[in-house]
Amino acid sequence: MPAYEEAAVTAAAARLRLVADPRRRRQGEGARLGSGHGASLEFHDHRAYAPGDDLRHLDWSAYARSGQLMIRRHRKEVSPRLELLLDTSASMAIDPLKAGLAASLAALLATLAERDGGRPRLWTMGGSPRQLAAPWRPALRQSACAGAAGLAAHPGPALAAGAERILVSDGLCPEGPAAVVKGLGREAGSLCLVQVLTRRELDPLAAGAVRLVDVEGGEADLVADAAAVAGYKQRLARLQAGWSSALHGRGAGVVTVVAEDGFDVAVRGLLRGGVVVGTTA
Amino acid sequence: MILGEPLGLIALAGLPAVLALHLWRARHAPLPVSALFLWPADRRVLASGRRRAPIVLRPSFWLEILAVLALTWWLADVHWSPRQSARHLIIVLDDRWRLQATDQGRSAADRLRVALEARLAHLADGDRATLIASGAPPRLLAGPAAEAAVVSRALSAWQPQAGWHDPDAAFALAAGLGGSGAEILWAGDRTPERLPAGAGVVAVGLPATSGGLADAHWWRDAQGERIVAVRYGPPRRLRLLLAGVEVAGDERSGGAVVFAPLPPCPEGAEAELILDGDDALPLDDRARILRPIERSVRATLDPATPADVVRAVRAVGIRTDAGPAHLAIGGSAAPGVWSLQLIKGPGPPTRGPFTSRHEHPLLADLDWTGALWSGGLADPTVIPLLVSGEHVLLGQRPGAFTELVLGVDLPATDLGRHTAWPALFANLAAWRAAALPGLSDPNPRCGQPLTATLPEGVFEAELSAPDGTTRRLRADRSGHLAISALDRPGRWNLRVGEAAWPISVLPLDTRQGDLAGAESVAREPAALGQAAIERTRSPLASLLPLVLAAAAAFAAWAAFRREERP
Repeated sequence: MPAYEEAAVTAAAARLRLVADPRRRRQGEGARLGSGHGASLEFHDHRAYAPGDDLRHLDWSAYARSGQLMIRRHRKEVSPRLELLLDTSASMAIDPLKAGLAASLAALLATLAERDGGRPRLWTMGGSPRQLAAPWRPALRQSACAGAAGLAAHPGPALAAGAERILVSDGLCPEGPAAVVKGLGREAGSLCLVQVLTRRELDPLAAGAVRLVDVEGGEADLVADAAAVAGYKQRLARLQAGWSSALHGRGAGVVTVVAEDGFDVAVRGLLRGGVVVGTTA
Repeated sequence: MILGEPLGLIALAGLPAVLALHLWRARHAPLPVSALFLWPADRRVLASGRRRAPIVLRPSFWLEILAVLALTWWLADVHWSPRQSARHLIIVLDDRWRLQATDQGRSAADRLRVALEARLAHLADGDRATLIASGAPPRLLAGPAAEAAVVSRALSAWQPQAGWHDPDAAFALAAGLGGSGAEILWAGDRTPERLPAGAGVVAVGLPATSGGLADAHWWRDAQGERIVAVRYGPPRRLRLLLAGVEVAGDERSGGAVVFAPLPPCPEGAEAELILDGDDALPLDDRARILRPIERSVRATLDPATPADVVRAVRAVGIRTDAGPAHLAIGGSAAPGVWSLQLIKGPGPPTRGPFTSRHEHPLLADLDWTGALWSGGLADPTVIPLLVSGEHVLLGQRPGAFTELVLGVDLPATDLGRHTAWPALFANLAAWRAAALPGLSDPNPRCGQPLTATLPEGVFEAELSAPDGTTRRLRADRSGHLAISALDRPGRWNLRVGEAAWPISVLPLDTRQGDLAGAESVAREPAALGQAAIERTRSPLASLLPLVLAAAAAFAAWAAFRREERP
């Protein structure tokens, strides 16, 4: 895995934060509001007083208005749990830009999670899943792209229930998005895909008679003419639609970035896709 | 376009081979992808084995074609200029020493060089020339088909010094080298008697009256030592010098001169014969001759030797004084000593017929007609040389030593009065003398063959010429060595083991001294057109296509590797 752009990551992390999704946060006390009620200053709702409730939470104003003892409930503050699954299969190394951008985006997301007080867990998904030990930065730098399983590795990683999961991958899985989401999205608080593709993967050339050599195994002779390219694009579009469908309602969905466009353009893509937001926003 | 080696076109067979390779080559350029499954299967090509398909014109294809064509160029010697039809001038130089004859300080060879240089200067750039020196055998001085500058350098270094010979061998060599269309030019001091048809002549001779020595010998035998010289030409004084000191002179007009007796000379002494006065050809006015090694035969006589034998021995000059003997008459043979035994056999008196081995040196030129012989041997172990009926009159016993047997009862014969009787002993003396180590003549004339007898047990010698070149010679089983091709006057050396036998080859030949027939002639060779000469390619023309073929092949390999890289 090529070294990620640490300086760019640090600079971007200073002006971004992860988008919170309170409905799916279940874990402990933290700096961010959870979906349940807790002890934060932010009002949540009222409920009727029950013996044993903390009298400090009685809403005397409501009692004045309605004559009923109402307990004022506040939002719970939670620490976000982020699980980053970085695809390190051989296809991610087909272009050093692609591998480098994927690593940089993974580092950015993990850094933002740390900023929020969370403890991000990073998994590399090459031949078999491997959790990067803390500190994760040197481990991320030393990880290599190899193997063909990627996100479809079986058995999958031991993931925590309720965590926010972000997949950083090219998403080019022959098994199909539904199968991947079914495996990796189980008990997830949220799940989204940051899809890193090269320009040639998005828009291949009509190169004529070629021998396609899949970097993850297999080859086929093919006449890459306009019709073949059109067929490829159709299948890619169906794959993208499959990802969108599989991730619908589970978070930010699919954010596709192009490796050749660079890190800054990719970060803008994350902003547009709602994976991160600006700190001033 | 001209093909030097048409068979080289076989290399063109590489073209269909390259085409076939590319027709059936797996022609799909590898393209790494990360999602093979996204490519439509209906556009894929079956990958079950190779199949013929239109050629993809990749760099490796063109480079392979280029390599084949360059290789064909090199092998077939393709060229565009008509270099095989250039003019080819073959100069046959008269290498005989008479071209050293001078006129007003300039030799005929010098004048010939000037004339030939002028002709070489007129050759065009692509023309070629060959320089041959006549001789037996002729020598190739430059070429064949060399550039004019090379021939000019060889011509500058040439010095005529060969003995008398026929130039026909040189003309035959010229014809062989030139093939059809070559111009043959004879260069000498006169027109040769036989000139090939169409050959030109450049003769720069100037007629002159010349004289010199025709022969010179130093004799050393039982009659003592003497030097004999033979002169020809106008009368001139002849002087004899020993160790640089004049010891005798002769003023007579010509013919043979005998200088005898000679003062005592040490072994290895040299004498010089000098004809005084100016002469157009001074080369044969002097002769340095070497004192020959003593090869006279000394014999021991048994006290009972018959008087007829003693008389014959003395008559033919066989020495009987004290000293190491070479022949024992009446005695037995030993290492280095031959024996002749006289044995009375049972043979009856006879007047023939006599059967003789005439080729044997002992019996050469002997005629026994009219001789009364008695006492022939009936010994079957003797190898017969002369027989009468069943009896051996003269024979040789087999063995390591030469042991001759004469079966004769002299008192009962008249052999002592027969002319063949002393001749038999003269033959014996000559045969024995020839078997003594040494040269037959240390002062041969140029071109004259020599014989040498090597010491016992030695069968190889090394002959070195005046110019330092050497060659090894092998003797026959008897130790006799034939030396020929002494074709240069001067000091030669025959090294036999540790000893060196000097040979002074004399430039004496009246045929060469005859300058009266010299003439100046300039006759152009017949216009035979352009010669089909075989000219070597220049290094650049030879290497360029080969280097190109190698570079193209390497580049094709590199391109192929790059094309096949996934």
